[in-house]
Amino acid sequence: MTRRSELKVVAAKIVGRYGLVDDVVQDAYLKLAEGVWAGEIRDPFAYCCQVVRHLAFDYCRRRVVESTHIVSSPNGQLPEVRSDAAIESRIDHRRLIAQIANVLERLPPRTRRAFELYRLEGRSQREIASQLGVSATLVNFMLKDATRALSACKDALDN
Amino acid sequence: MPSMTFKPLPSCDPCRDAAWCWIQRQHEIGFEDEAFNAELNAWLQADPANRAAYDQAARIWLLTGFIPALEQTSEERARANESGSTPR
Repeated sequence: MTRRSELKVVAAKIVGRYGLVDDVVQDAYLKLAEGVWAGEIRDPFAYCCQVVRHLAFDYCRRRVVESTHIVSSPNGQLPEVRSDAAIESRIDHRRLIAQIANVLERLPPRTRRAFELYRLEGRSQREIASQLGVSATLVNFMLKDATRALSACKDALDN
Repeated sequence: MPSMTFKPLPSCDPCRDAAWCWIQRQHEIGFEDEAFNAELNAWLQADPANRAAYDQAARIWLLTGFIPALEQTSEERARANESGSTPR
């Protein structure tokens, strides 16, 4: 709790101009409290930052795709992000994330690393290619393999 | 052999594949490109199945962000050391 302000800075860098910093950090605390990731965490604070960062990106993403749902708001303020609480509550995040982790574990190690650099560190395909010493084309194929394998987790969402 | 433990599924769902392409492009482009955002929203509104596939992909995508990275590989460390000692 004492490092909440540091987490706010992480969130603010991403969603600052939308004034969603408190929402993002609060959401991150809930996710962390429910133990969304039950596996090993080497550096808890770095992990908290990771959760905050990715939630913040997701808030931005939702803003883009949900702005078309709301034409205007009566008080003239920016439209609120639609609440997906009803859907979210039906999803067992821990079960789904365990399934996703299982998919990632079964990827060839280099493919998994390429995916991590892309997904978690935001590296470009070209940067990943030079870091791993492979062609950019191969990186593109590895990312395709990873996302295709992940897309099979779909079934867990329907149950 | 990795092929024993990992086989990319032959995907037979073009809608799902397209949704994942959008998620990937959005990850690369970000959220400030108005032309891209308009293109994405047009696709989402074209068919409720697009929207559903996109929402599912986005949920999985978000959760991949909650899984800690593995350690840096020894290959990468060696490569980093190499490039670090190379005079420019």
